[in-house]
Amino acid sequence: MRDNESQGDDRQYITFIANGQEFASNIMAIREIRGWTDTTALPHVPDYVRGVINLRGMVLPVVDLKARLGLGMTEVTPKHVIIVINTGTRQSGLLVDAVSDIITLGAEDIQPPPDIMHCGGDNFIDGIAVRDGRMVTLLGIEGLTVTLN
Amino acid sequence: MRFKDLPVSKKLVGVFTCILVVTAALGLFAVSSLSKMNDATADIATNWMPAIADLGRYEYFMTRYRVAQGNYVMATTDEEHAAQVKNLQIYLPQADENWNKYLPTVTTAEEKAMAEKIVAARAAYDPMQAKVEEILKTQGKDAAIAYFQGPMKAAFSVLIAAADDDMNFNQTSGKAAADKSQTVYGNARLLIFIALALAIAFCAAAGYALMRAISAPLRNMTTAMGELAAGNLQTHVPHADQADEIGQLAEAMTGFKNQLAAAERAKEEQTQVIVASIGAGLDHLAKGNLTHRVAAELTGDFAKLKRDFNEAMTRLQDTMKKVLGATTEIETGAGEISQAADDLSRRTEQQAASLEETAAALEEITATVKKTAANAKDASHSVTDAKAAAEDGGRVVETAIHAMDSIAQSSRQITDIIGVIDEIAFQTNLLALNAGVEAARAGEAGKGFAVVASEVRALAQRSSEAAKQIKALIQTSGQHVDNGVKFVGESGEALKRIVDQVLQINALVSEMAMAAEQQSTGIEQVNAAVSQMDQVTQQNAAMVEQSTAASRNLAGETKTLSNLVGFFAVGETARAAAAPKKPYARQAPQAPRPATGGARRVATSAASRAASAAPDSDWTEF
Repeated sequence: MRDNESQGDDRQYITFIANGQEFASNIMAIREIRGWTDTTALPHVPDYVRGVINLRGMVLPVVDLKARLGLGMTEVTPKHVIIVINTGTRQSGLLVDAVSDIITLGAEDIQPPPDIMHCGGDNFIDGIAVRDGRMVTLLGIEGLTVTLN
Repeated sequence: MRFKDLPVSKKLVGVFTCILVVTAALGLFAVSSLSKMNDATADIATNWMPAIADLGRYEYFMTRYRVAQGNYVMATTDEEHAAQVKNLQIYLPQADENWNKYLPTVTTAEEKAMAEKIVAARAAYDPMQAKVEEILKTQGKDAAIAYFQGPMKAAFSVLIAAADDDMNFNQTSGKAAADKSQTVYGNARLLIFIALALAIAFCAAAGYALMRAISAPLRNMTTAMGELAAGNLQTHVPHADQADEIGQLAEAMTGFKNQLAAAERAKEEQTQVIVASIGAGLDHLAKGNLTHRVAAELTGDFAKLKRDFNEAMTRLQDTMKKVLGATTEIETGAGEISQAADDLSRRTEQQAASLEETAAALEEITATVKKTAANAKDASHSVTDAKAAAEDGGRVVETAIHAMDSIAQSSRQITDIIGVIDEIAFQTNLLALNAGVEAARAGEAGKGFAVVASEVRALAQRSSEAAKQIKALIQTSGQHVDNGVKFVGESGEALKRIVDQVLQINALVSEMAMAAEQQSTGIEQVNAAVSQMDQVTQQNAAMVEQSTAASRNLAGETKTLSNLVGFFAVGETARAAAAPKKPYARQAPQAPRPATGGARRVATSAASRAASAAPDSDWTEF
């Protein structure tokens, strides 16, 4: 409905779960969703970089979202999912617990993050949406993977 | 006869004293002769021999002195003079030394005169040396030689002659002393031989006298004593008239002979007394009189014989008294034995009755036991059936367990398949999401595709949900199956235990049945034993009657024994003590007898006992 009414404002998001918490990301930044495959570890990288995988001939670094948010390493199972993100020229993977849904949010649904979060470090939270009483954190995924470049 | 009367000790002492005196005189004579010989030898050794030697040396040194004087006179140079003066000074003192050694050995007057002669010659010669030295100095060598060969030589010849005389005298005197010693030795040897011959002759005479005085009489006495020892009391004892020890021995022997004869006579008298008294005692014993004792006075070993005889009689008397007493007691005992036999008979009958009752009771027990055995067998059959049923139950349980296992296996397979479905649903979901992403990228053109993708995603999610539900259900049913397997297993175990217990019950029941059979057999044996006991009791009753009769015979024999023992007279006191005891002892046990005998007759109705009781009472009165 909303898609029909205001095409310019509505955006599609993919929601996913990490550390039991629901996050969302703009669908246009996402290239692909894959099941978990074992990674090849890299030396001298931050602990949230799990390593690299081979995606149809292209080497792709994988970032553990939970570790990236400073919440500890994820215990991986075959049910875990890698979201392949396309940031301009570079692609990278993001390890999450599961992908939940594809949702559409209008600008009015999104609230900016509280000022207190600007105190320090990288700011990769675009805003917070409330859906069916649940809080969904909108992540700027490009920001998450910027440091890799 | 005087020598014969001397005591033997004095005879011996006298003879040995004489021998001692002769030997001592001989010894003294030999010692004096030896000392004389010794004196002569000492004179030669200490007086004559050293004198000869000293004089010889004196003469030698004087001659050397003379030669030195000659050399002095003949000497041409002053050195030679000085050398000869030195020689002169050496020889003269040596001659004087030997002369001084000789002087103490001068003993006799004749020798003294000779010594004085030598001294005089020396005194004349000594000054001539000074004179010749003077002549040598004043008148020259030739005058000195002439003086030396003339007056000086004459004086020296006198001195040497005097010394030779003295030496010859000493030699002659030494020889004379040796001759004297030889003579003394010859005389002494002769005298000692004579004295030895005399001593041997004296000793032989003394020995013969002693033999005559001591040995011969002793031999005669020995012969006489041998005769006495052989029992010849009429033997003559010799040498009784002698006053010495042999005479005393002969007197003592005569006394001994007379005493022996007296003892012989006394012994004969004693034998007479013994034979008479012991004979009388034995005569009394033969007649049965045990109160007699031997009263005659007997001595020595015969006193012991008398004592032993009297003691034997006393013992015999006591024994006979005791035999009498024992006889009485035997009579009493025989009566008691009779009564005891009656009692025994009555009790034996009671025993027989009890045994019959016992046999009846035993038969009842036998019947009961047999019944028990049959019941036990029935129970055993029932138990076997129960066991079979329980074993069937066990088999059913095993089948059920197998079925449950199959179900569990199938559940596991289903779970695997569900896993595959779940996986497919997951992959489908991912594909749908990717399709959604592609559709979003396509913008307006992908809208329709996005709808399809979301439908596919919904389907995938539903199939995933369904798979999860099925998985949960399968897990639950798996748990139920496990529980069922467990319970069925437990019921199988319970059935096994039931089977085991049933088997135990079966074994116990079998044992009970066997025990009942054994009891039955045992009771039959007891039955047989009881009937045997019954029989034995009957035999005992018969034997008791025999023993009663035997006890009566015993009483009769005891009376006979009492009469026989009465033959011996055992003294008044003993008879008085035994006599009053007898009637009491006999009658006391007899008094209650008729009463018990009567009771017994009523109870047993034995004819033979009534017959035997009649003589019993008769015998008691007797």
